[in-house]
Amino acid sequence: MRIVHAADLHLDSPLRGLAPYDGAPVSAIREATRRALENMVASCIESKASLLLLAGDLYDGDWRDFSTGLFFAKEMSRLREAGVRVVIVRGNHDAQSQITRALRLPENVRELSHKKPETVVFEDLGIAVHGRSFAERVVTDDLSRDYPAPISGMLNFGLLHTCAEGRAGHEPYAPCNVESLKSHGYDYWALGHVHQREVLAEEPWIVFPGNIQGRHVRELGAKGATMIDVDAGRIASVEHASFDVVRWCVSIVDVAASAGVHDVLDAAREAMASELEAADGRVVATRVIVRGAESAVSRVIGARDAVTAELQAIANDLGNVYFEKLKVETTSKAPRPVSGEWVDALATLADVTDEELTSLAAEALAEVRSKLPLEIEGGTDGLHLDDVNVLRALLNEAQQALVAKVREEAGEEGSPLRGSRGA
Amino acid sequence: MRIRSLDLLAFGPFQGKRLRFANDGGIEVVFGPNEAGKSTTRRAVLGLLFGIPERSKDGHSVDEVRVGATLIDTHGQSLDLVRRKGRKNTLLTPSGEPFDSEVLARWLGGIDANAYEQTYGLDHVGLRKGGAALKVGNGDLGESLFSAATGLTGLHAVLVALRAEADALFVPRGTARPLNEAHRSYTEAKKLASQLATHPDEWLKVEKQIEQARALLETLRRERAALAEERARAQSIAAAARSLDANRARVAELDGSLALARAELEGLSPADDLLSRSQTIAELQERLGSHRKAQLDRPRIAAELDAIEERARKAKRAAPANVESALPLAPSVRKLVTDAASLRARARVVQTREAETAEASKRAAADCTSDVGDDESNDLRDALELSRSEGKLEARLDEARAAAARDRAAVATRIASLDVPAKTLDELLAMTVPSSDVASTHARAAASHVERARGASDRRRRLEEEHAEAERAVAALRAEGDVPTEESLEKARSERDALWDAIRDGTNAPSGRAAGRFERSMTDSDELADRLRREAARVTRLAEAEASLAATDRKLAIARDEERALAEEAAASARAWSVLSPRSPEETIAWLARYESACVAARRAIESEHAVAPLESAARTARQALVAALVREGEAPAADAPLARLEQAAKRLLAARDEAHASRTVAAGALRVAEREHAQAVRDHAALERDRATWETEWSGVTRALGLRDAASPEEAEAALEAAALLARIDEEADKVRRRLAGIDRDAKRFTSDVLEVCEACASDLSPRAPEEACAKLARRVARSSAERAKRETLEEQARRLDAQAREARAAFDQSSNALESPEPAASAELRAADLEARLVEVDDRIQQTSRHLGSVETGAKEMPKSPAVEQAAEAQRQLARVRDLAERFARARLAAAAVSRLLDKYRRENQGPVLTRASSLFATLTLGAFEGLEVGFGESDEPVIVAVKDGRRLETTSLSDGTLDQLYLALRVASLERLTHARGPLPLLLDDVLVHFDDQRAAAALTILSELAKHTQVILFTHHTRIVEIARRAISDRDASPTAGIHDLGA
Repeated sequence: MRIVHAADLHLDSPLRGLAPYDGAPVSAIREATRRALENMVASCIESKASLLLLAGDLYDGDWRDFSTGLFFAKEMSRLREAGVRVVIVRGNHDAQSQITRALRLPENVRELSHKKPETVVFEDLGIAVHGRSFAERVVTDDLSRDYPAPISGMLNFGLLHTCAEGRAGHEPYAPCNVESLKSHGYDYWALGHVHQREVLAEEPWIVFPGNIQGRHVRELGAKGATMIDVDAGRIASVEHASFDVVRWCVSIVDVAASAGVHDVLDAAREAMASELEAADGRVVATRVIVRGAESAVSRVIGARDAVTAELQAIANDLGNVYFEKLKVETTSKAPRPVSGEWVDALATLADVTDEELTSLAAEALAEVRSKLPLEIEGGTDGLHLDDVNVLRALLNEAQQALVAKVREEAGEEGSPLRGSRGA
Repeated sequence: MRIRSLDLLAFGPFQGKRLRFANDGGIEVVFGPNEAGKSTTRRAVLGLLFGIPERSKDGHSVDEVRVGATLIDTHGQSLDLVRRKGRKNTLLTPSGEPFDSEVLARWLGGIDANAYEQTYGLDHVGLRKGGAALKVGNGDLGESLFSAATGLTGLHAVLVALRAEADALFVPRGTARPLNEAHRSYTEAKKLASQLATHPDEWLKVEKQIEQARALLETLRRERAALAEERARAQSIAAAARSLDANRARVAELDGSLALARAELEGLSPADDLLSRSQTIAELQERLGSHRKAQLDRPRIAAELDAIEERARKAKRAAPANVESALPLAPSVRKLVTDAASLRARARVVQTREAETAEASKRAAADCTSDVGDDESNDLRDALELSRSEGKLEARLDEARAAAARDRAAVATRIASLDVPAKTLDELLAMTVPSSDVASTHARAAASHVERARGASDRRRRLEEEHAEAERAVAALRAEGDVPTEESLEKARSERDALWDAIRDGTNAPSGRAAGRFERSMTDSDELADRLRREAARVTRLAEAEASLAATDRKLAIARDEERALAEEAAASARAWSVLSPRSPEETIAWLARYESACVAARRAIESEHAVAPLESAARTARQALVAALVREGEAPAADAPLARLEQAAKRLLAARDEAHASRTVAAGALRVAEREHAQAVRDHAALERDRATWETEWSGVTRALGLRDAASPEEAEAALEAAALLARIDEEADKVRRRLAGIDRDAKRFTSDVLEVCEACASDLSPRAPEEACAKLARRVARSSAERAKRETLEEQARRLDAQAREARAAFDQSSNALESPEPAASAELRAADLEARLVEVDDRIQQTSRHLGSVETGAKEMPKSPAVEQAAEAQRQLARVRDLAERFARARLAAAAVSRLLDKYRRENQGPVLTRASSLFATLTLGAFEGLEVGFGESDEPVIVAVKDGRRLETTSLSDGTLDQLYLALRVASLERLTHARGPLPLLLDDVLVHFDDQRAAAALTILSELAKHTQVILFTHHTRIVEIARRAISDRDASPTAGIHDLGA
């Protein structure tokens, strides 16, 4: 007997951070979360699953398009036709969502109450599912504490939307203690809320299945659901199955000190190609991180626009690759001359105090900040132009680009100092 | 830090080139014409200090490239280094040990290669760029000072580019710039997503619509079903009524038809008796045709019979009397005629054959009569055989004799060459001779004697020469004068000592003489000692020569004795040999070889002689036998004829005889054949005669039977046979015609009786007298009756069918009239059905409308999960990402520009005063006083700018000439470097032909300034202009140094 455990569908939540460019595979990633749900439903039908447990956050809380709910209902109807029963608890997003309130779901779907913990017993399956929905967006109590005692002779599942003991990047809702979950007597805790798949314990099983489709570069790797196989009233195996249609990844290029821009591009192509291959035919959305010593990465920084265009072209050439962004990380800085001696002064360009930097930025960026949408500061990869660290990173990169550019202008044909140099 | 010496160990075109810098506080000029390696040297300095780029072209293999140097710091501490090309540990000590590059880095104050080259390197292009930048940047003070201090001439352009980049991305009130545009797109997409989103109420509305439409549809469908049922009922009533009417009409119609058919049947009465004989009548009808034709033919056939009978009578009259009996004989007659021809042919053959064989017999008998004699010549054949069996006897005999003579002659020659008394062969073989071993032993001994005698005599002669030489040497030494010897010295000394003893002892009173003698003696002995010492070599030589002479004497005596002994030994040996042979041993060895071959030849000659005798005897016997046989054969052979000739004669005789025998045997065979053939021919003739007699007997029998005479010819017999055959044919023809007539009459009679029989049975009205007419009438009557019968059968069938139909129709009628419960007229029922139909159509229309409505609502509902809002939300996110990226780019460019401005401002504030003051004075010097100096002015936006002061006027950089700008930049650069050196300590300044655009005076001024700078830090000026070298030389000599101290010629 198969039971499928998924959570955090976040249906119709758009993929973030993918700026458009010529040739970008926009249509290939369209409605990715819907396709992922379809994949999962198809898998449930194909593997003749008996039960689907959804541990909350079916929709984005602020998403108001009722179509999304209708799509979900339609997919649930497909499960009904195939005899798959579904148990849902609402997550924080669902509690906030308008869709949840108006949507009528087919009779094979059972949504557990938010007023008190509830138990659904499937006599024919020998399974009891206990759970409780979020009543509102913010729930700071440990909901699991009031979950009913296990029913003996049954396989007991706890369906819970929780941040567990707190997870970075996730709101600290319905916290709970793993040890107390373990001692509760259930056979399997089907958790939701944390988007990264994680098995907290195996006896009993306590599992975050992760979301079914990564939506930005922080939600990396394979996404999907957890497939639970029950044999003779016991859990026989617990395995992840991928249902995502767009695979987020980071292609890292470690640059040698002597590498030129073309070497970097070649390495990036290789890294992207290997990610693409690992994605098993899915579309890959990738960030490219070039990292290395300052002297090496500065060549990339100096030609950032051209390198970005090349990386987009490489993505197009590979096909099915959506290039997200180029990031440059300096692993070690070149030695700085002592400030005030005015030798190699451009290298000291970014050597400013926080106060100086803040005042520089206030003057240089005030206008643009007042015009920009607040949303660019939001999300996981927000641009905070009032954050001195962000400003410093920008200035550092600008300084490196500048040095590269000035040297390019100053550099003469055949200068012995151009190119790489032995240590 | 300064460079004391630069060692181009292996770099570019150089190999082991050393530049030793004076370091006396003056400028160092490195001169090298183009291609001499000036820029290579400059690269070598950079390579030494910072490493040699991997991709540089150094004209040496990577492992070989080396640059070395000795550096000294301001405290006079020195550092010897070698730099090699490579990736790791490229810095070495002179002995090749790795050297810590951090140490060198400290010496360089932590500066890196780029900064060093920008700050401490300057060439004329850089100078020009610096000058040009002053103009482009309007002489912005901060930029200018910064650029001069750091060598970064493109800074103004960079700043402009940064600002442009930022402006190209975003302007506050713009719409088309990418960032503005992306922001707008984002806002629009977001708004659109919100507008396109489906509200739950919309869905509820749709759901309600679907529900209502479904309910309506249900109602309509039920209504439609009721109507359809009612209509069906009305229609079935109408149909039943209509079918009742139709059935009634049909029953009436069928009854009518039946009555008609029956009435017609009654009018029909076919003649059955006639029809029962219709077969017979049809046959009679067929026979009628042939009957009529026979009656027509009969008279013609009767006439034909008459004519034939007439022809028969005529033929009979023409034929022989007993012609009737001729026919059976025809085969015999024909055979006999054929036999007669055959007999004639045989007679011709037999006669010819008989004559031919008789002739052949005669000829063969004649051939056999010639006689050849029977004598067997066996003796001759045996003699020939005997002679042949010995081979060619005579030839072999001649050969044996010739061989014996040849061998004898050969032996004679050899015996003659031996020079011995022997005359015969046996004597020769019986001779006593020494053995060859003894001879060769003696020969070897003699040769050894000769060799040793020669050696001994040579030795003796050589010793004689040595002896003479030694004598000459002794004589020559003696001739040189008295040779002092140890003995003579000893003697002189003892003499002196004696004299002294005498004097001392006073035995001899010391007299003047004694004293004089003693003195002389002492002088002599001293002189002798002196000479002995002085002439020691000569003394030694004499002693050696004498010793050598004595030794040679001894050796000579020994040699002479040896020679004598050898001669005696040789004589004794010769005597012993002479007893054995009169010849010398060597000759004897050769002689013995000849003797041996003579003996071999002699033995062969004896053998040859022995071979001749048997051959002679055999030849004699053969000859005697042959001659005797030939004589017996009647030949008379010559007694001395050679044996070969005798053999030939015998052979010839034997061959002739064999041929004659053979031809007689052939002739006898032929005679026997001829006689046999002739006898056969005679027998054949007799048989022929017998056959002919038989034939004639048979023939006369036949002619008689035919009624001919006996000797009738075969032609006559054949004519008789032909006449008989003709008669027989005519009779046969007549018989045939007669039989035909009889048949016709018989047929006519039978036809008439058959017709009569039919008429009597079923047509008594017809006359039997005209059977032909009656027959035709009968046929017509049969045809008529047959047609009537067919019609009757058809009518009967029709009537049966009509009867059945009528019964069915009546039954149907009964049924439909029973079915109608409430009999309603068809027209009324139909009217009702049509009304219901119209109502149904109406309901169908409404159903269709409602279905369509439901379909469209449901389709809409199905489409509702699909959402354009989703894609718009995605688009909004894409635009947001774009906004974010562009904002980042914008921020970077803006921040960079602001930071650069700040940097320049800071530099200006820190350095403006001192640098500008110093540069002002340098500028005045460089321009040879054409300008008074530099000051700070203000540009259009009140930013501080550099202005040049000339004749009290302040000129902005934009109005200065290129040359003046070069000088201004150089002044700023030198002033900055002075300050930098002051702050950081000295580092070598590398100038590459910076003065090429300066005229001589200004170049000299520049060199003065650079020399001034060189007091604080090392200044190395690379040039390929001799002009600059000359100016530099003058400048150096002006400062009272050695005029060549700072000039380094790379070509030298």
